[in-house]
Amino acid sequence: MAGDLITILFNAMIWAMATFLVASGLTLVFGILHVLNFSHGGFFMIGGYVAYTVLSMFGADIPLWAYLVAAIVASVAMGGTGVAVDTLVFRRLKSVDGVYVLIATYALLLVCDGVVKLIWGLNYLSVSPPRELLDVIFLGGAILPTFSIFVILSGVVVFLVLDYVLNRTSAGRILQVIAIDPWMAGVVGINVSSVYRWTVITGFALAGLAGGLLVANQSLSPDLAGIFILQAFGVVIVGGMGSVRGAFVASIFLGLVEALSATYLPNYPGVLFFATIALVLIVRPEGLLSRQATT
Amino acid sequence: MLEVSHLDAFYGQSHILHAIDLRLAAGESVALLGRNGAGKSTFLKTLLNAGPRGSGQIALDGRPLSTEATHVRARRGLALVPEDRRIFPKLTVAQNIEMGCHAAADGKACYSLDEIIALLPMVGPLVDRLGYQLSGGQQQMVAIARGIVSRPKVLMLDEPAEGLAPVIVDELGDAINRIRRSEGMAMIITEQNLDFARETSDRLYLLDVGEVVFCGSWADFDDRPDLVDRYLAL
Ligand SMILES: Nc1ncnc2c1ncn2[C@@H]1O[C@H](COP(=O)(O)OP(=O)(O)O)[C@@H](O)[C@H]1O
Ligand SMILES: [Mg+2]
Repeated sequence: MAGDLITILFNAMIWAMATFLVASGLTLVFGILHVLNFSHGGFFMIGGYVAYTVLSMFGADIPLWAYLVAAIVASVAMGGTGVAVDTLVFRRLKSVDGVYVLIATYALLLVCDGVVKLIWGLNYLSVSPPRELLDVIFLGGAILPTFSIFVILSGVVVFLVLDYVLNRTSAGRILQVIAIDPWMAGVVGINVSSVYRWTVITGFALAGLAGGLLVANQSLSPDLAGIFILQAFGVVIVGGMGSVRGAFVASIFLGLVEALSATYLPNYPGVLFFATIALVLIVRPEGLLSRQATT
Repeated sequence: MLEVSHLDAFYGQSHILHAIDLRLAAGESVALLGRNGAGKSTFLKTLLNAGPRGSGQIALDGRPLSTEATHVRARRGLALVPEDRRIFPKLTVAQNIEMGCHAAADGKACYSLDEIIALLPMVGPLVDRLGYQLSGGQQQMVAIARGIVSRPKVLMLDEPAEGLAPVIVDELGDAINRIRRSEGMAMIITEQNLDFARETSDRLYLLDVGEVVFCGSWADFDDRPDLVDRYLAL
């Protein structure tokens, strides 16, 4: 019984932190630029494939340092891609209706999908966890893989770093000012378009980092983007569009919903997840943590 | 120091300002008067490239400003205190003022908080307040503090006295004159309040439907009582 409970909580946290890793960049870009980037999951997926390619040099025996390096390579590669996407797409979306933003970024998602199929093909690919993280821990009857603990810790670390930067540094204060009043930010001498650019780079780098850190968490296929973008959108909506703290709390909340539904409603995958999102939209359309909706 | 020649400004297809010429010497304060909708705010925003699209020449200390973005113009020394003040609501007053220091030119020191409080005593007791907790008069004082902290060459005040109680307007006028006298900061002050404008400026420009219809000293202005009736009365 205690083992079941621990297993449910543990599964909830794996889902939560994997989803938060993907959602963090999405919610950051939305919070500052007010651009809802549908293609975010696509760049997360490409990040995973990039890490896969780096790690394929090591065969089945991957040291932890190489796993981390691969994640950083994926992060840098996607950050660089962010520069191109910002220049070619986001800058042109500044003054158009939100619907066009969704269409344009959905088109980008299709491009990501095509790129993956072209370079890596349609087959399922997989990477094994780093050799230091192949063990399991037994806790009160539950079996906890150390790699899953690594995923959970990764999400927590990314959250703590982002939360610190946004709320405790002068760079974070500038971001908050721009999120609320970009016009006045420019008038007081802040280079707003440069901050926008670095925010997009950071958002994409977070997508790449998530792809790299999670590459051994599930198999790679061109479906990956779609699966994660739905989960991440759920987290961003429930967390109050654009709030990193909100996304973190929402990911844990929806993780619990997912884990409970997987245990008690195994024949209806996803039903409880979407029902919860619908309920939040009806009861608190501004999100659960709306007071901090800009950070 | 500031030379504006033949400045036109547009919002989309609407042609708002027509061939505006304006000169401002170092340390001088000019008032820009005109009815609601005359184009006063549009003029100040065009100088900063902050909204309307401008065409014509703007030169600051002999160097032209052509396509520079807003933040570059701010760092060149143009500070705007907008009509609606735009205090950052979730930052403290001290943090709001500190934000203004982004406009400091490279290597130029901003005023310290103490120096700001010496110029604007009303700000003193407010430093730890949050932006959204301020009254209108307090917001105006903090907006001016944020505007001057970077020691700009030109301080542009857009209808600073609007909506403030008479006592606060007096205090505001004193503060503006203190900054003029002790710091020698040049100013452009838009106003509809004639007394306030007279008290805080050396001479004036009168704007009507986007054109300069009068430019001169307050004495010249007083010799032309028709101007008030034609261009300022409701
Ligand atoms: N954002 C805008 N878009 C379109 N037209 C505008 C905008 N802001 C002001 N205008 C128009 O420009 C003219 C001048 O406005 P403004 O500069 O605000 O006048 P003032 O500050 O003298 O009251 C007005 O006719 C106004 O309707
Ligand atoms: Mg105005």
